[in-house]
Amino acid sequence: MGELRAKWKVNMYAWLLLLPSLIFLLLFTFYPVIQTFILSFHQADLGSPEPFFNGIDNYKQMVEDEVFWKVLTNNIWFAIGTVPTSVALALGMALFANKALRGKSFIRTAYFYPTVVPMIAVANIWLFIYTPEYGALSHVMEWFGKGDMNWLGDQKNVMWAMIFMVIWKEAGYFMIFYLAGLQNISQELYESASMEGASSWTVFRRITFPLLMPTTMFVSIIAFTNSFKLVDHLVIMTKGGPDNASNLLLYYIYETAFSFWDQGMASALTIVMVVLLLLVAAFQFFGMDKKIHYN
Amino acid sequence: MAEVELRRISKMYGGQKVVNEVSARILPGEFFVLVGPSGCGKSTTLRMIAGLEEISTGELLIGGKPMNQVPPSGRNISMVFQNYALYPHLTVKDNILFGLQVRKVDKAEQGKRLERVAEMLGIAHLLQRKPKELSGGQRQRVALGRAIVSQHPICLMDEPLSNLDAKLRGHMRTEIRRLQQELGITMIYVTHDQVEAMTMADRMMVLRDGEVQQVGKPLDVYNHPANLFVAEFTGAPPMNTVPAIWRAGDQAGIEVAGQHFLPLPMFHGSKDQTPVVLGLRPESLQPALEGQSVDASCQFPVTVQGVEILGSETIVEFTVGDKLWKAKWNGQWHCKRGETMHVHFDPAQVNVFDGETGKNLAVTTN
Repeated sequence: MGELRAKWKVNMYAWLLLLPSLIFLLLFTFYPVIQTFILSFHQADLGSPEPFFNGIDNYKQMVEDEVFWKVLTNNIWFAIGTVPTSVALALGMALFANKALRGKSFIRTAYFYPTVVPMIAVANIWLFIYTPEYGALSHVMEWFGKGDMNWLGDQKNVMWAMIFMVIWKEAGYFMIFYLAGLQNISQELYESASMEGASSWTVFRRITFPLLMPTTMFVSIIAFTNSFKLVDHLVIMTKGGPDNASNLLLYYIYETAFSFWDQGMASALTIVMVVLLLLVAAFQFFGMDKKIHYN
Repeated sequence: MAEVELRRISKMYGGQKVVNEVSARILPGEFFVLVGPSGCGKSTTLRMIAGLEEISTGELLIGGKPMNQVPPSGRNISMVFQNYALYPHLTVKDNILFGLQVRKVDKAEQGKRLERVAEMLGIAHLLQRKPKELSGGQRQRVALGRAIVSQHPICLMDEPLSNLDAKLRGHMRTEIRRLQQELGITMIYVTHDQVEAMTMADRMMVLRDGEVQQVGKPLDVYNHPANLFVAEFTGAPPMNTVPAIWRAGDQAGIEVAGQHFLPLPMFHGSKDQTPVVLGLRPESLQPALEGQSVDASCQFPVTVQGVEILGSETIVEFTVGDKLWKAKWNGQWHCKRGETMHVHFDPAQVNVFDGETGKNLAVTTN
């Protein structure tokens, strides 16, 4: 009996210690997710005064919805366009900022500065840059005789314009993680490699890059979730247009919920997004984690 | 030829000179130890030899060729770092072979060398492990293996044993020495531990504040320290010293603390009343037993201040002048604090240093 009591006491302590974070997790994560999950099987739009159960109708409609597929494809392209490039660029910038002998802090500040600018402000700045005829970019393009390009108004260009802007915004943020990672690598390792006469490419490929893998892993998960999360600029710049060419999943969810007031459909879309993100995160964590060296 | 020659090598950081005109000639197959307290410039000197640090002034020759401008990999050197510098993400095997892979050595040759090195160091069973799965001693062996496998004729070691516990350190000392002799490598070894220097070196260089104090065989350095610093740096416990005054005249000698007079006929040139420092090794001070006939001037009474019985030997503490002296006697001596004893010494083992410059007045070399 005494043993059981002692065990219970230990467990009690554990639960008490977990309690604060548990409350917040339950309240703000699990409960909303479950509610959303339930709501996704209901019809809850302006036409139905009380939400009522409609099975998998929302999901069926979604599959038939062209805009959904377009938005999903857009988002996948957006992720493919932003994640590897911003991560690679961040690594490059970190390597440079770490090596730079002069103006180290200036370079770091310059690289990091886009991160501290709010996305709304960024969107406004880039809206001006992309403005046809009198925008900053148009002035530059004029030298090449292409000053008349409409970056945001053209279905072909708008996604590229967005991807470019987001890379600019994010790379500096990821660079900070890489800088920290680089500073964790012992200088002795590089000295040892230089005694062997390893070229800088070999050193990068065989030492720096593998030892930065935990950072790369972390940063790419953040970058990937950001590519689904970051939609502030759409509100300012394109509202998803022209013809949904720049629309992303989260912004579409927002529109469905708060412009078309179809809460059931918005919930179903949210569930799709959550599952998608979970799948990718799971793949990254369980698939790639084994190949990564952690100190 | 794996001869290393340092010609008046200096290192400046900003305006500060951390290594000042160090010269040495290290012969092929020699075990050469750079020793000194921390901050004396020994590691910097080693890193300049390795090419990891630029030489501010002076010339470095390896095998007779100037090396100042040659990158580390062109100097025919391998190096063992203080913290081993093992690549944490690579297996022991890949760690050892890294250099050979970089230099694109033939695969079969790589395998052969790996096998030999692994056998030599007894790490064959560890080849597939990562460094974090190894003990300190095993990591040390892998680091040694990486240095040996390159088959460079010169090996540099920067305090390689400082991360090991005392027992393992003693063991690795003999092992490193054995390997060096078996392979006939020229070894340049940095340590702050004078015991390592004494036990391993063919020759040692004592450094202080970037300046060479003495170069020589360990026993020569021990028996004839060039100056007060070397005297107090070598030996455990180090040499006992006390300020004294030189008395010239009919009966020349040294007066300690105004009480004891020691006639010493062998010094010349010093003027009367010159301040000097008298030095005696702990083992030179022996208990004077009754019935033993010793010259009265080589004997003096002491009051025991403390006793450390270490089993095979006993360390007895007492004050001479205002300095605490230690004597090392064989066997177990059950002295009591406050007890008065007589100690005697052989006048031939007395060292006398200049009171101002600290130079050994008997050593005329350098």
